[in-house]
Amino acid sequence: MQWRPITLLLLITSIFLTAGCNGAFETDDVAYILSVGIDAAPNNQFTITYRLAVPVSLAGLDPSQSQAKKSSTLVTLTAPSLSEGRNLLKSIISREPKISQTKIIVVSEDIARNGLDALLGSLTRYREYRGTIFLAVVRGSVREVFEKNAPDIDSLTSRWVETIFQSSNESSYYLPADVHQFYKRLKNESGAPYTALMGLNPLVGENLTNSEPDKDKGKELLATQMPRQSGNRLEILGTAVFKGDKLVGFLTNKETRAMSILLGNFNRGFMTIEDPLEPTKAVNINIHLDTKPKINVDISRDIPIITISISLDGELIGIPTGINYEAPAFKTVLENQVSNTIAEQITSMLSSTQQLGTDVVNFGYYIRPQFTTLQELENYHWDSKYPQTIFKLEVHTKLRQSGLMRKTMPIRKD
Amino acid sequence: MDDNIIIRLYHSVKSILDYQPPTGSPNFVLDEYRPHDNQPANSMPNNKFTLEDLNALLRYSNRLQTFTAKVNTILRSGLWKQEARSIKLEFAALEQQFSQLTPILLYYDHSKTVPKLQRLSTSIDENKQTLATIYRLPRNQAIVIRDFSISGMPRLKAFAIFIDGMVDTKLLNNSVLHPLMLFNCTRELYNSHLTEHIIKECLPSNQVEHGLTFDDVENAVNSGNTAIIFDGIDEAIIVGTSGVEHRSIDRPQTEQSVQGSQSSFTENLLVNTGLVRSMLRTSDLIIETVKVGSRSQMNCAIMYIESIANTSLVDEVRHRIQGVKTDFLGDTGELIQCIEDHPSIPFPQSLSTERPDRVAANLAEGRVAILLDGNPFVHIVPVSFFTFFHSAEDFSLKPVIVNFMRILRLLGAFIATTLPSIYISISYFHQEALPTELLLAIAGSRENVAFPAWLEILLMELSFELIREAGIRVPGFLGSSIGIVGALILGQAAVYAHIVSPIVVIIVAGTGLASFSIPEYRMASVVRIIRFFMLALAVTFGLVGVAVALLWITVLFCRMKSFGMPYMSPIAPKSIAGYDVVLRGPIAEQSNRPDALNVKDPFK
Amino acid sequence: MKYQVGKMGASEGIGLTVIMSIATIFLSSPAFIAERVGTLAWVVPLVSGTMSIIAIFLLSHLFKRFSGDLLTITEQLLGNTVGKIISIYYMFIFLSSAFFSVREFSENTLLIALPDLSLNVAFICYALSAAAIVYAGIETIGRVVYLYLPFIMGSILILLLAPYPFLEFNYLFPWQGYGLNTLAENSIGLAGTQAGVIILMVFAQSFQTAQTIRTAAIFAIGGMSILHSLIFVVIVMLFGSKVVAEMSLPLLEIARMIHLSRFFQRVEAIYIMVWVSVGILNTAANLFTGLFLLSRLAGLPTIRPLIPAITFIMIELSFLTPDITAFVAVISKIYLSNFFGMLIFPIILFIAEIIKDRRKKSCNGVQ
Repeated sequence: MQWRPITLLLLITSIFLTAGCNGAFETDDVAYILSVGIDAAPNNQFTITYRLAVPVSLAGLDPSQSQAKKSSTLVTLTAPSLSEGRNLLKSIISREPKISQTKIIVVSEDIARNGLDALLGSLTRYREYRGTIFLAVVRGSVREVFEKNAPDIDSLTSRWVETIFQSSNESSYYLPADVHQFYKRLKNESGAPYTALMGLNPLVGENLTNSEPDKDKGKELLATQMPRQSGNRLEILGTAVFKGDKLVGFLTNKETRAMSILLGNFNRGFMTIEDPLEPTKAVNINIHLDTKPKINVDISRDIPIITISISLDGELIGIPTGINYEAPAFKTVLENQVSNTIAEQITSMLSSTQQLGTDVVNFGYYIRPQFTTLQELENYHWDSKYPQTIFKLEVHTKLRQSGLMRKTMPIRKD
Repeated sequence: MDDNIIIRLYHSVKSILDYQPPTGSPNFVLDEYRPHDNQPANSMPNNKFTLEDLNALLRYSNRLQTFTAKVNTILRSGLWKQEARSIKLEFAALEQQFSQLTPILLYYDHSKTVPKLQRLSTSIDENKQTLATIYRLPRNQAIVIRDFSISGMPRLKAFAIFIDGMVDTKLLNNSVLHPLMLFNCTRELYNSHLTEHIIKECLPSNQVEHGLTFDDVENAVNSGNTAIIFDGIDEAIIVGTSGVEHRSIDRPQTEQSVQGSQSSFTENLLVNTGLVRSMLRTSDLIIETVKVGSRSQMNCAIMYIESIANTSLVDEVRHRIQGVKTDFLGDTGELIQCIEDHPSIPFPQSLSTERPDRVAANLAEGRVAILLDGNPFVHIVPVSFFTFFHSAEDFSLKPVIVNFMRILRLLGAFIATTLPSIYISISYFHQEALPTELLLAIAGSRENVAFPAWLEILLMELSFELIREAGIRVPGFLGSSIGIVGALILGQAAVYAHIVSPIVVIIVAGTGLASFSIPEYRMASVVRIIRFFMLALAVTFGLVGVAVALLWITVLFCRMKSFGMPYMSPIAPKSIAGYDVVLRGPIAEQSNRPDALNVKDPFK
Repeated sequence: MKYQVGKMGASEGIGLTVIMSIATIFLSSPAFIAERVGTLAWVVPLVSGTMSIIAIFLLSHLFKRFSGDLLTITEQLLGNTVGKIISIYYMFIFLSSAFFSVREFSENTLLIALPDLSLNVAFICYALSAAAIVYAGIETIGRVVYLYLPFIMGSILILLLAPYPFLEFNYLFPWQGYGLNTLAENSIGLAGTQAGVIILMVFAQSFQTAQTIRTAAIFAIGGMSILHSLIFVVIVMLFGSKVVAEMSLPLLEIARMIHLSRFFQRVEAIYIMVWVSVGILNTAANLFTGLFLLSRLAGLPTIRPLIPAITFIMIELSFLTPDITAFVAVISKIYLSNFFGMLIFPIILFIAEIIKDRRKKSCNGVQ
């Protein structure tokens, strides 16, 4: 036999065999990090909380054995950066921690106010993070949020996270905010980044805000303010608005819904509107966004004028007063009521964002076709012009459906 | 009196301690063959006359002696006038035989170790003697030499030689022995046109030939025919009487089909060619017989349609088959490995089928079929890779159904090759590709398993292969039940014993099922082997390894040829395909033969 | 050896041209172009594609007069010395492309697929596979690429369509990007990275007719330019040109953004298979062409003994720069110079042919 091919074959085989296993990890040599929470700690450090999955409890072969264990476990430690935290984590758990299954990164309010620049770089550079990870800001302590979060229906919190953000457009009281849109708005020429807002509810059942009710009977709430007495303590309501990479303000749930309508993300949601003919009672309507709003930005003058035209669709859910809103005459009244309420909400949201100086709806997106080169766009400085912008808003509502009832017959009176 | 136990014990102990050389003959040991052992000690090869020469001379002298005695009696009895003519003829024959016995000729003839290419001698005794040497009579008992004589002036001696068990005895009796022995002829015999005369007027058999050398006689008798040799004539008459018992036409064993014909080939070459001819009734269908092998000449037939098939292809096939030098070729599989383009590459380069309708369809497209006597599988060349995914009844169903099944087969082939590798690479290197719940379920079920994932897969794959092999070997009705029982028990028990995790059982079962969807058995076997190779690459390099392995296999395919036609035509070297490559088109559009075959007549 | 007339068809031609031009899509070139050109990036591949097609058509026009391939025409038109210099230059283009491919694809394998793999092993894996394929021949490479083409195209198209929830159209505006003047320089740069399409001319004798070459050029170069342009469109719509300029591997980032539901996300692992095959085939094609030119230059009858030697040299030379950024700086200069080989030199040949034509006409008094 010829010695040259044999020698070559042996050399090549020995290269491949001695080079090691090339980073192959058995599924039981890896610990999956499901979510990461970052608190501020003194001396520029972070208190990082990791939620790790416990796969044995999900195996499903032995029901008695699996229900005994919890499905995930928490580790909290203090480190100067995320990567050092990974190092320290390795000394606590026996397996290699992997971030590839992380669903959400939760940041405390303090860190957000100081700026997320320390985090964002590693989020886009390191190959294990990806743009589809959700971002949230927490009012309060992140560690407590992780410890007290115990979703009842889902077996895993990662499932809870994914599903809650996937179905956000069913009420739009919060928005699905991921690293991708945060980064995109941060680096490109316009738009303010935003994240979701979470918090632990004290479960005292009282009124925790002092917002005045308007024609929309629903309250203006941020996370931690929902009046309730039971259920999983973690709730997600509202949006945290950033300027650059620093947190500057919050949007309440109704403002978030208004923002969602303007973005075109809003799918459907229930509204409780003051009955126009009987102000003490409220009509329930299910509103639905038909087409994306038409937004036109006119920059020909010094102050930009933005014309917004929204068309909504509505379905009557409940009319306590029994007034025949299904008839065309009354219907118009109700429609106007809805349109005005929504218009007011949108206007108030836009003015508060103007005060903050953040263009959360990203109207700067609509001026892009009006320039020819990127230098011109950058020289225009949309961010400085946004606080003076004038809005012209038109909302049209059509109540198309009235449910299964054609009209309401009055209750029998004695 | 018998020895009692103590004395027997004493003797056995004594035999252990006291060595005695063994009695009786030693055990048989199959040692190296030494050809000089069987020759007699005093052979002197340089002698002018060998033993056969002397025997031949002796026999001639006996004949001469009987002849002189006969002439003596005739002369004495005074019947010279009637017998003169026959005596003269007989004398002429004897003279001729003497001329053959001159020493030079003798020495020359007998110095050949195998008297194969020798011409038949005019002496019947010589011929009988030579045939006895060739066939090692009387040890070889199935060879029968039947002496008889034909009436005439004078009575002509003759004998027939045949192999009992290979001839159809009724045919032999009725069409050979009966007419010849009861043949009444007043013509003179002992002239050179005797054989012609007998063939044309006396033998009512349907296949008769001349045989001139011992080789012809040997071949004829070995094929089941009968050779008749006459005294004084140096030719033999070969009558076709073969009637070997063979299996009747049965359903195809390996290529089942729901619709379509249900006949399959048998082991007899004539029956097989007959089946194909009954489907393709064209006079252009040429069946060439080529003899393969040196010690046992197997009949091999090449079938093609003259007006369609490319002549260079046919010549090449014939040339390659004729170049095969071996003693025994039992199988078409062996034959095709001797003549195909790349014998070292395990992928099949010819289509092996046992259905005559498939053979006929392929012949009509311009391909060549190779049949071997004794084997019901026919090989069709040249083929492309996509032919192995066509089944026999693809044209009897509608295109939509057939295309769905073809895509399913290709998908099955891909899954059978890559599913374990993809599972291993994703579970080792790219865990993020799985949804979280599935990944945690897999991780959870693997918590209690001691073995690494690649070893689990390897164990289950090997046991699946063992079950498959065992199912083939187990006889009769137990075969299929062993498969089911084995799979169920092994899989379930292995999971409960925490040897493998449940998902591995699913993957291996899915792979096995997918590999059964490949219609061609040899292709399925290769796929089974490639799976392990890909598994090795997947364990070391993950999906990069799987991609590299698939690339190497594709490069190999694009490089291979099957009898001169590239393996991946009509896609890789693009040629007019005839809409029957991966998907099948409607019948109305099948008007072209595949261009890659370079046929003489491209339109159907 | 390989100087005889062969019979490669349009499909092999398409395969070879595609593999030469598709490799840059998987590397960092979109990021550089987005940084300099901004939102006009999608026009750049169309311009460079047009330049390539013009080059091929100019050269194929020359074939009406002369038979042979690029090198024989050069020798006939410009003389033997210039022919030898030009063949050295083209050999340099192809071999350097092979070296860069190995380095870049190995580094990217480490980055994306197998982070713990040792760089040496990745190099050897790519280089050995490419060398083994070079043994199989250029026709085989063309056929394999043609066979893979539907899968490559299909997976890239799925990649482009799947992130549709995140695409925002207005990020393509302002349409002139940083100005139209940036277009010229970057088109030249991109055309330089795709200089390998001249392979159609190097193997011109092995194709069936001149028409095959033209068909292959139009389909392959045109298709690839449109695909490249689509990729730019999608990626700028997805990320905005500022973020694209930051990325190392833009096409991978598109794959990482796919999040259609809970089940179909994080699937860039499958995209790895496409990209590894493309890398190996690209290296093999470049290596074969470089070796072919080398053996033409040196008058060698075959290239097989050279293959192991050049493979080892390739592995060693690719290690020359210590890190990827310096490496990229070096190769961008070389790619700029490749442009000469791709477009300028065919124009020179064309002009030389016209001059020679006129001289012939003036000499021939009968006409």
